Amino acid sequence: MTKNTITSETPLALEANNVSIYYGSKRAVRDVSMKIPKNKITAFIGPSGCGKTTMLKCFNRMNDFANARVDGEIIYRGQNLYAGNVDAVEVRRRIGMVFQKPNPFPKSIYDNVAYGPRLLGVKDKKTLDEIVELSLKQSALWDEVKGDLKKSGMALSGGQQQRLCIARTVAVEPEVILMDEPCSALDPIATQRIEELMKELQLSFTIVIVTHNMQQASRASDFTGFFNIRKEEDTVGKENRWGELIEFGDTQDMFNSPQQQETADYISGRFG
Amino acid sequence: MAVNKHYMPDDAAFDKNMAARHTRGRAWQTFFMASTLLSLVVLIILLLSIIDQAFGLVAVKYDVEPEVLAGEGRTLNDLNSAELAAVLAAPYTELANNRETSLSDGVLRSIVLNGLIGTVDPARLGTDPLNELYDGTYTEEVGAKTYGELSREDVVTLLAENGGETELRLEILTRIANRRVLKGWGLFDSLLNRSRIQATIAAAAEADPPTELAGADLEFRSWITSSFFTESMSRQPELAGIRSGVIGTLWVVGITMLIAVPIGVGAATYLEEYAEDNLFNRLIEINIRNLAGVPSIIYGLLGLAIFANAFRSFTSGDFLEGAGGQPSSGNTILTASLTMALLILPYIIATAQEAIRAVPYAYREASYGLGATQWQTVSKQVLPSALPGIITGIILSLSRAIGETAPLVVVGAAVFLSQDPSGPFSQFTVLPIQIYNWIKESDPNFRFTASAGIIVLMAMALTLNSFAIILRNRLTRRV
Repeated sequence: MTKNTITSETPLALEANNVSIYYGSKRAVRDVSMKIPKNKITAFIGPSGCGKTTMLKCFNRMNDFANARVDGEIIYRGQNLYAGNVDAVEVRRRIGMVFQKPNPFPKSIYDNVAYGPRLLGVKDKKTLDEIVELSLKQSALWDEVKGDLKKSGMALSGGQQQRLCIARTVAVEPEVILMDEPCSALDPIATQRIEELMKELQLSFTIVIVTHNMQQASRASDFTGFFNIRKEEDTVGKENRWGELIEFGDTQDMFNSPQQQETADYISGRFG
Repeated sequence: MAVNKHYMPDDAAFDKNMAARHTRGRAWQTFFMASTLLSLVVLIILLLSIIDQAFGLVAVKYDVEPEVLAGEGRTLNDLNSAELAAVLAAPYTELANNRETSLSDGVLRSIVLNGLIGTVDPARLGTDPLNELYDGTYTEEVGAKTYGELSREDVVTLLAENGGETELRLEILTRIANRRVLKGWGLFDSLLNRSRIQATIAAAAEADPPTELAGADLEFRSWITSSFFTESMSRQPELAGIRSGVIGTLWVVGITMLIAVPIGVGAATYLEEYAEDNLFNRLIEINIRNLAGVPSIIYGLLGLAIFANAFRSFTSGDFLEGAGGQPSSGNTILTASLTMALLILPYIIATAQEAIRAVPYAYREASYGLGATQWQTVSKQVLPSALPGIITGIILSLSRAIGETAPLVVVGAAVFLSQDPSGPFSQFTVLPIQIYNWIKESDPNFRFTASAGIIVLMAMALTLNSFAIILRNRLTRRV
């Protein structure tokens, strides 16, 4: 297997420069810089509370709803996503998201997938039909549901629901798909299908995935970022915790020969 | 080796403890069941007592026997138009007080007006001669007279020549013979004690002097008749109907909902989805919650001061006629609806807020994640998902609006209406107020009318609620 490296020629999907994220006065993530290459799968791993999900949601400004404040820059197509003139609605259509718990809308499979295109003003029935079919094929769900697209999305199994959510995201043709522990609520077989699906989607999309499952990261990703918790007691003796990016690089490299002692401890299961 | 020490009860102690726990459980269960049964019994008693009053035996008697009017050995059915017209104008003796009397000229003329001329501009009655108002058989001399100049004899000839037998007979029966309900009995009394009731009437005839009930016929009467729905108010319980009350209720409730639902759901949506969580908005929310607990009579006073008086030119409809018109009353359907809307608004807002809050955050997240704007998320995900809950709140407020009485008494619901409410600017009454007025009447027979009215009110509330529930199920069944 060839080693993945990031050089100045590597096409980048996203770039974070000195990003710190605050909730109110509380710092959640400090000083993260990373480059996320195009058409690759990048995994974020780390113990609970290390800020990896917070960092992920930062890439499509889903953090706005939690009243998060972001310092630093997130660069997408040469544009800082947190600049004043950027519309978060536009960002989220370009950088889609799949959530931890499958969350199809209480609508039919068809309406679930057509939801995004309709938001963008696609009305023509034939075009919608094509988009729905293509998206369901891309997310490897078409063969299972093509007979009954009118069925409620809620009536599918957990794994199917998650693939429906992926189809729904794919339908608005984003460049990047963010996945927040997409398999944590699924059984191993459904998990495997999603992992296979990610490999296929990689050809058309850039994928960033947060996972608790280190095997998943090592199996499915090209790059891995390891986040860890930092603690500090302030002057009044109150403990502050925040997350930092410890190591970022080729997945195989990181799992075989981690550069940092913390990374080695975490991936060998000594903590976390 | 540590000593194996036990803390939990064992054997006899355990059995005792267990029995005590079960006993406590059974005691509470019995209490819960008893409360359910008690409410059920009270409800059944309430229903039975209303039904009891709405049906039952009545003693009825003519003021004047129709046979007496018709003459020796004949009935009214044997008479022709001319004879019937003569009966209408002839003097007769009322049985009850043995007083000889006759229909006045004015009443006789009104029979001509209602039966022959029909609806006409009242102003023309005073000026135009009869031949311009009515095309029928009459002499030239009569045709040249105005309505007010028609004499008794003119009326008799007019009716004899032009009146239909059926209509004239009905006029005699209602205006002269007048079969009145003297006394009524409840349904259970009627079924169980019929012989005692008959004896009461028989005794009335033998008393010296005979009481009012003497010679009355006993018959079974349902106080809910078809004419009960079609008649409007009357001083006579058996003639009184609920038409104006039903129409008034439908108008008031309809306009109330038109005002309160959009404003209520809109405010709830704003507070839940758009408003920031700051002190000011929290104060607004607390105040809305508290408003739901304000006694309804206070809303009535507010409605009287603001809608009926301060905004009189708006609520009375005067603003439509421009300046210079005769000022009319502000005690209109619009005032009542605005007051009622104010009253139910806190309920609608609170229940809609609950419903919106109960929409899983995941739907919003998913919608935003696909690049939806806030309004797209609210209109396509949040409100449709919250709709069943919102409608449930609306249904509850609707029931409240139908039954509410106190504030409408204050904003001036009419005690007696001669005309049906015809629009937002009409005088009005509503069903509960009509029932309330009947219960206040001195004539005890009005209590039967009131019970019949209560049954109609309950049926109306149930019907409107069922409509709303069917609507809700329709809207939720989509997937």
